Amino acid sequence: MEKKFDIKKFLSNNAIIILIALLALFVGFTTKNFFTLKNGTNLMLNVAPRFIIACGVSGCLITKGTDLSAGRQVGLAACLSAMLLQSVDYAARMLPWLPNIPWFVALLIVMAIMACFGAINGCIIAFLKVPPFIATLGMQTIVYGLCSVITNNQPMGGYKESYLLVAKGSFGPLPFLAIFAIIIGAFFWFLYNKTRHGKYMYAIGGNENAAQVAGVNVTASLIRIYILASCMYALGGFLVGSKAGGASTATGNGYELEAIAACTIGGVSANGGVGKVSGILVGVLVFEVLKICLQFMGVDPAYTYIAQGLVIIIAVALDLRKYLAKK
Amino acid sequence: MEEKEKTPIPETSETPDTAVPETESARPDRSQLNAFENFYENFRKVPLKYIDIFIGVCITALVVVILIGILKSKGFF
Amino acid sequence: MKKLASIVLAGCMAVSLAACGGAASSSAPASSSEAVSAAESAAESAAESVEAPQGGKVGVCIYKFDDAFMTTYRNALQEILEGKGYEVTIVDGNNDQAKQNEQINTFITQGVDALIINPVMTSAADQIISTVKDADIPTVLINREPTADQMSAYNKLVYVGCDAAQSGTFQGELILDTANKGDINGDGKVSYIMIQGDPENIDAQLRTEYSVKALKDAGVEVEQLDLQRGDWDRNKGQEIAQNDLAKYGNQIEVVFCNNDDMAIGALQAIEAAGRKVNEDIYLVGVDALDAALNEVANGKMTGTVLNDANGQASQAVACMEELLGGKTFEAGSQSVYVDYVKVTPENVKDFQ
Repeated sequence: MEKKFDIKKFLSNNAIIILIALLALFVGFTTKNFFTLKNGTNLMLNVAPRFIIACGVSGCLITKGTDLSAGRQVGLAACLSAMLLQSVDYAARMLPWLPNIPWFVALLIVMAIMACFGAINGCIIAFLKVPPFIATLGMQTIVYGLCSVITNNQPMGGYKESYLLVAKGSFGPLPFLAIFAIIIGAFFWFLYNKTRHGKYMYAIGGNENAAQVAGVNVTASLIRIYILASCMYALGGFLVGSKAGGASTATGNGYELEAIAACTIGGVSANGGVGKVSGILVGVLVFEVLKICLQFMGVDPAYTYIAQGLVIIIAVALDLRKYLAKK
Repeated sequence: MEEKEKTPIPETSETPDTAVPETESARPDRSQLNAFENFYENFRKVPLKYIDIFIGVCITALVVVILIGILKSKGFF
Repeated sequence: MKKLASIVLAGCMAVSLAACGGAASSSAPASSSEAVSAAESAAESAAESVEAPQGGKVGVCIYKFDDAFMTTYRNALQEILEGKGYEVTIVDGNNDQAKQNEQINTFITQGVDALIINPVMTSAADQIISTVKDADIPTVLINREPTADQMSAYNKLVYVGCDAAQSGTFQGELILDTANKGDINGDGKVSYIMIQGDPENIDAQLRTEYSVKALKDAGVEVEQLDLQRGDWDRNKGQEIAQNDLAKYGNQIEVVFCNNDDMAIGALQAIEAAGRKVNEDIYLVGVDALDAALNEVANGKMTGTVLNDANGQASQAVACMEELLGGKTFEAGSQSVYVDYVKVTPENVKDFQ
């Protein structure tokens, strides 16, 4: 009796993951080249930047907030990286006076700039008590406008070899992008599980007032969370720019939707208070495996969009069910 | 006239903390919740069964959409 | 416990992807799929002498599915390729270059025989070209042209498209063909507004430039009242025309639009403002969409320029088959152009 109940609950809680795993197995056995190392590498390359962005958003979600400006911040970060890392002898260089700088210096500069946006988000949400939905929605449009102004709506390309190598290169069998993702994953796991900041974050998510009463500096924690999120968007944008070999104001459009959906699939409830790094990874994997499977099967993109939308709806519904079943 | 006045009253006292005294984790006041939580709270009154049915329908729809997509690309339609 | 089980499940998925491939390939793992496709194409070119092999897998990447012109194009591509017995998969880049690169990588892993790519950003074409070059897959680029310099990196690469300057020149000629050569109010100059596509797109730039140049070269004096960016979008075209008509009123004699979608939007604004096309204002677009052909036939558009999607699709497939048959293209001759066709009220019936 008990075993049956366990399986049923397991199935219902992980329905999406099981479905996608079955789909992957099906595609693998009916098409050539699916179960190959190259496909696994592609999967890792696709997952890495999205995982990093999703980790950034997760902090906002766990504290019962959200960050709708994620996508546009990724775009701005990609454009800033582009401006800093164009090849010196590129004809259409955006900043002709800029000397040749190493890519990690550019990355740090971009992170520092985006952290300011995160700080603004955090301050508006923590001090002015503006609902995160509204605050980040406003920030989304502002960032897009700034990006248009800074880049003059010119798409940029002509990157340095070393910057392009970040997305193309690998350390033996492990691509550089995967190494970035692993480091970020480990960092977030440590942050969420072993530090006071992590404990405060979960406390705020569980019950903000109780946390405040218990002595947690809610304002400081929230601002830290949004700054960290923006740093992740900066890194994500930097990597996306390298992957694409170019950046424009359209880069990053809509990335926040996938990031939030991936978090929800992975167990980070929109209702706050729970969420694990492993869950985020699973959520991102689900989306990317779904996309690859459907492309291998030659499915019309229209159906892919519908399928992705349904996955998001199911994820939210399952999360809702978990919340209601608990109370 | 009196009946009309009566009907709004049950609406406002639907918040359970005035109807049923709750000791632990009293339902938070609606003004303290953000958009997402409000949305979730709305479903508190819906029995679990309906949500399960909804999830079942969505999962079926997902499987159907993927199947249609695959079959269409193979040229069966 | 449940989370652990789901991690294990996901982990199995990822490990199986790597392990099965790793165990199956004997040579360096990364080149396993390349070895397969190289062996395939080597066998094919050995078996055939002149004719390109029929049957095979083709991957098509479109920059954005809801672009009206590209919809006609990709339908034509699909019809022609399937008619020739190829297995076609078309994917949507959703105006995101990173996403398109991922789709290209997946196609390469799948082991397609040829690729037809419509780049999202031509400034990022270097990355696309180096990816397909590393995989040694013959590629045809369509509709958005990178520079000759970028294309010279790979010799199994060709661009099929139209010379955008020609479409601009034809637009100018459409105005010159009218009774008063565009100068309706007789003040000696043609006052126009220009509704542009997205300015980084080479087509938009050339159409903007050459449509006016055609007028100037014929000795007509021109005056630009406004130049706005419409992003190839019908709604934006309507808004821009609406604003300009309110601002400049009867001063506007010609409305140049870089494409038909924006022109049709502009037409709504023109009619709402009480103006009549071909009586007190001229309107031209490019693409010869069905809706636009209808308006030209009704006399509500001065003319349009046929962006021959079918012609380009046939040419793209022909070039692809040449590449599959072993032909290479040297730097400098990697662009194949298909002609535009002027569409006037006289010949519009031919296209409907």
